[in-house]
Amino acid sequence: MKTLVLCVLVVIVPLISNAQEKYSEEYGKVTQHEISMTEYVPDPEAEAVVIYEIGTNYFQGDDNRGFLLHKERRTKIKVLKAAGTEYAKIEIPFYTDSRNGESVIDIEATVYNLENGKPTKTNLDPKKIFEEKIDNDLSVKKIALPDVREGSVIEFKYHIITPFFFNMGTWAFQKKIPVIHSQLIYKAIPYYEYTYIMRGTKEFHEFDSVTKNHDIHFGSLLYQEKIYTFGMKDLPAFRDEEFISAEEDYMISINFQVSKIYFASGSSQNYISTWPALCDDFLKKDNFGKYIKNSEKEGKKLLPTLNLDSKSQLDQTIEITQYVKSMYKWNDVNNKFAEDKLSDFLKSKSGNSANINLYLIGLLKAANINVNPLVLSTRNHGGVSKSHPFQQFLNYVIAQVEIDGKTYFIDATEPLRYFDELPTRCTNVEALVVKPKNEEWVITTQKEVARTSKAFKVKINPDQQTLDINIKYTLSGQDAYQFRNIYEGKDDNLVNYFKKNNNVNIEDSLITNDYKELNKPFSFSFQSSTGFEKASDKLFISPFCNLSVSENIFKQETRTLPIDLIYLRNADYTSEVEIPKGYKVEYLPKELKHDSRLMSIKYSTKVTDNKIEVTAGYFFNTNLYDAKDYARLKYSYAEIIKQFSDMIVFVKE
Amino acid sequence: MRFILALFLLLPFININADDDVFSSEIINYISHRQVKDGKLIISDTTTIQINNRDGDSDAEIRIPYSKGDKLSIGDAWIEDMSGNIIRKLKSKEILDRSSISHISLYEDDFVKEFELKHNQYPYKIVYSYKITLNKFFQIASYDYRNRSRKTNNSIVIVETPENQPIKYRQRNIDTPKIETAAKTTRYIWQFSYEPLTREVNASINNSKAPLLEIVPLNFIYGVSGNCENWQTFGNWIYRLNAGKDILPESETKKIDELLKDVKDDKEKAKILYRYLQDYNRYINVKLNVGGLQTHSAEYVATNRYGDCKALTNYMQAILKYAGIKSYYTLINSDDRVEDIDPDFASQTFNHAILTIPFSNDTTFLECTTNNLPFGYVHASIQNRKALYVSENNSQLITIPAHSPQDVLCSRNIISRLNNDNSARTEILITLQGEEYEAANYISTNINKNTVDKYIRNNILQGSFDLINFNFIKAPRDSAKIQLQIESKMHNIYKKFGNNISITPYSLKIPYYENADKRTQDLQIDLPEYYEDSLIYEIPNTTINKIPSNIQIITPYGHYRLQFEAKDNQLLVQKSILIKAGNYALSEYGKFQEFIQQLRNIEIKNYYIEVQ
Repeated sequence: MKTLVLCVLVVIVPLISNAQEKYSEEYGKVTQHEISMTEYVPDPEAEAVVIYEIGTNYFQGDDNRGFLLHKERRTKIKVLKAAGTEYAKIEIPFYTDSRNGESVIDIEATVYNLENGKPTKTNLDPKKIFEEKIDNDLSVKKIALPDVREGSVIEFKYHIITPFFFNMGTWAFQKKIPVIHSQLIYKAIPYYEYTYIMRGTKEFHEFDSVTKNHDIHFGSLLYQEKIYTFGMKDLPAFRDEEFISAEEDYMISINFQVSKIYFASGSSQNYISTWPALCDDFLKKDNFGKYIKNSEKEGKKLLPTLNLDSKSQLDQTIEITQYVKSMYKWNDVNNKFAEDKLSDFLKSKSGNSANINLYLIGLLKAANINVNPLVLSTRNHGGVSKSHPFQQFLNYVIAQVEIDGKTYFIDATEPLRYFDELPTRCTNVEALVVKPKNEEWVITTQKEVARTSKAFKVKINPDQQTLDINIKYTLSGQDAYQFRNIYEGKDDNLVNYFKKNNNVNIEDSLITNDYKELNKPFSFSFQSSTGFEKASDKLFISPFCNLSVSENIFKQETRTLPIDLIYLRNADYTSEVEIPKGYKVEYLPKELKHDSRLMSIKYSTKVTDNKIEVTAGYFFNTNLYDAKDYARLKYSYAEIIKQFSDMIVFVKE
Repeated sequence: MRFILALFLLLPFININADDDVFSSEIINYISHRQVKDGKLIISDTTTIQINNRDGDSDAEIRIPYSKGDKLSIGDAWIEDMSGNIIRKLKSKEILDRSSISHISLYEDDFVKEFELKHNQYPYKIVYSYKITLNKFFQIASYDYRNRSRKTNNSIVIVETPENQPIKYRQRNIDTPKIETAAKTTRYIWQFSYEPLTREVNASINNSKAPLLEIVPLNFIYGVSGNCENWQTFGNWIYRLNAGKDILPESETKKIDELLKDVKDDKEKAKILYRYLQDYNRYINVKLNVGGLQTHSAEYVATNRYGDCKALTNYMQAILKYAGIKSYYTLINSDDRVEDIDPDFASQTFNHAILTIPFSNDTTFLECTTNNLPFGYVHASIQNRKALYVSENNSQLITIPAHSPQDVLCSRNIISRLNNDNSARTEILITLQGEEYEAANYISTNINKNTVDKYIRNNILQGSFDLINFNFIKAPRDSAKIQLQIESKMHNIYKKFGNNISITPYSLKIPYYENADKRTQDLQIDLPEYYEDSLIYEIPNTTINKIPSNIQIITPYGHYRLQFEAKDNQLLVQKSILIKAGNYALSEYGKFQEFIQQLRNIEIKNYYIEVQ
């Protein structure tokens, strides 16, 4: 198997000679097994299965445009269930820049069905290929294959020609349906060097590299191709689960990044580099380092108007952050590089995350605060591979400030969050400190644990069979952020929230505190009245009035991926239950104290004179758990639900 | 969850202003000038929006939709402060032009021009205008404020039409127009404002206080010439628009001959053909040119094996015709809300097509876009409303039957065997009908297993549990029923206190309605909800002495029954909940809400029993 051509021949020969062959990878051929199979045995639930997917990436010289990257794709899919017909819709995105755009050519597709025991074939009518314009630069070819139903085999191919050789992109071996064979062939030429990064697997089922002994001329160049083959076989469908970071971190794929370009002149440019060199690059860039410098200059003019002189460094930092948050609006785009020039950003008062945060960094520098940019990959962008220093893996920048030996991580895109409280998208991820010739990684720790405290005061009216309850919530961190978002300054929002979600009536008694004081916990309290159960002179009282956790957030039976809770969570409950006159305590919930590596749970009761005090709480000891901890987490959580909903029983004296 | 809903598309109304959900901005002034001239409709709109705070910024993103063939030009646009000083003008290169294809469609030749004018000193105003020329139209304007949440201070709509081009209009909660007649043209001027209505649960859409204005040309040419004189003439136009689209290729007629060989009964034939439609075709919407209302041909479906609601309905009609069965293309407004259709004002108010077959003793309605509903099943999004039956000369409004409580009855049989550690081994058999059947039937066939699994885990049980096993049991194809069998371990189902046991009920989720003192609008419930539960709690090594009292509530709005019975170590619970469909005036809302609140309170209460 010296060459690609040979490789294909090897597959064809047994197909022709051996009718028992289950699957064919020859385009235009369909086997008896493919057409008649009704389920994919290793995964009978699968709605479809990829029989093969083969991609070939190569370069070809174009007299006017230089080297162009060619990406050929061909795929065969068996549709096994109605839900699988979704895979007969094909979308091919491409860049349409008029002079320097991409082209999609040679789109072909065929659908095979079994009709009265005989295979039939329907070809795609090229007139039924539509083009959706997403914006000025991007369009999508949209195709719905004809005659597709349960049992169909679909096969299609297309060819993309692109000048964007930086976009060799990612080859996804694994899909949400099983894949029998996925293979990428990449024909390297000596002028572009790529590094590849594997995800989701440690080794390929197929790997080969051969240099083709065949000279290729292009202009004055003379070169040979080196052919790499990467393949995976019999991959299961990727099943996503709750509480995971980015799917891409787990699905098997290979990602190509340009590492070096050699020019005809003999010179070359490195693209793979080292983290310290990347830091230097960032600091030289117009949309990063120079943008910070320009912001610093702006800062020198601006800061005197903010009257910061008499303030401590920390207070200055807080004020400047507050200024940026309130004056500039984030356009919801994550980036580590500013998309607009500083002057445009200052005029339009809105920009991407880098426009805002690099500006913040510049202003802090102007105030002589010890600040550095921190670049990171947001949660949905996937983890950073530290052994692959590519700037593409980082997509966000925040500020790291040191004051009196204390570190603060600051993002200024979300005005509802206090000073150094990070949005969840950049919490608890690894980040690179951008300093000249430096490689230093830090974890963007969560400033404050997400904490909910609930305090109850319960008065029992045995005759009316009602409870008068006073309830107070105190929330910090992410929990405060969530409830501030629910409240939005309107009492009705909280009243409706409790009515709808907990069937709790707030009786014109809502008092909120510190909604706008973002540096303080958000708290509110209210009165409510509700019934309770009375049976044969016994009173059954729930000390947390059905406002403790009741739904187990862990619902799966098995778990394969790590559990990412994003942030640390904590809940505290206290309740004071008055012992009604003429009654005595018959039953008190048992004490519980549980401390493990995973979580801590506590529950205790104390009887004093005419009151029962219940104190309870739980705490997740980390925000990231191994898959194998799932069952224990689930049962700990079940235990919390059980214990916290337990009741006190009073009986008539 | 109404999965079927995701499948319709007919041409929407000319509605240049998209809906908004934000309270933080208001329309200060909107002037729309609409001129009918030489068979064209020329619309010139000028809008002033005031953005009051940061949350309103998204309303400074302006989108102007148009279709291929329309001429759209955007005039001046700018941001100004409250004193009218211009802060920034829009540059033409800031206008983005892109496709506008609904998520349910593969392709539509619809586009949108969009731009944004944002500022950070609040409040600020943005002013913009545009002109759009439509070469073909069957509607001059349609304003429906019922779902809008943005305040409109002043709206002026001017329609100018030559005297040989009369118009028709209908309006609600708007003053009658001022009419000016000049040399051979008539000008109509409407002026109105709108104070947003609060969003309320099941607020009546038919008695809404929001402005509504619809203006149509009496005569028009759209594909073929038509008119809005009355429903008959309008329906006849639809007939002509789609005429001649029923030719089938020979391969198809052969196939039908084969399928119907030896079948005599017409209804049986229709059933076979309906299954053939379901098994071989799928929903794909491609809308080009007049394709919002005109169907693709039957041949298109026969070749591609796909189509949208119009194409699939037309194809079904064509194959029935070949089999000698007469059927009628029928337009309907498919929606979870039932909206009244004005019998005296004919216009394009539909978004879906179905097929009507008038068999001699009963009329059958066919939904042609689903692969799994039974023959003749009227689903929740088309039940209980008027539809336009289209025929060559005798088009008319007809009534689609309503779901009765019996049609939507869902029941659960639950056996819970309590263990000694507060947990219980539970077997549940759920039988679903009506809308819940439609949703479950859809997810069990059309959604991948992983998603279904997550859905079931997150929605079918409450609290803390191990879902050991679940599977759907499908009824025969002609039966509108599906069962879900579940085996689970509930972690915390009961608690023993001496001789008392408190048992957590398997509560049903009763809808939430706001308190009567906050309610401002009439109530409209379009579908009844009917549930019956039969529960057995088996408690080991005990005899039950005392059970809770039975509960019975009967009101004009529905009923609630909860009955307990002790049998040795078993507690038997029978539950029946009915919330009827109906329209209720605001004055009656209090009583209705009281009924619902009682249900909500009872449903979450534990059962207390005494044992020996």
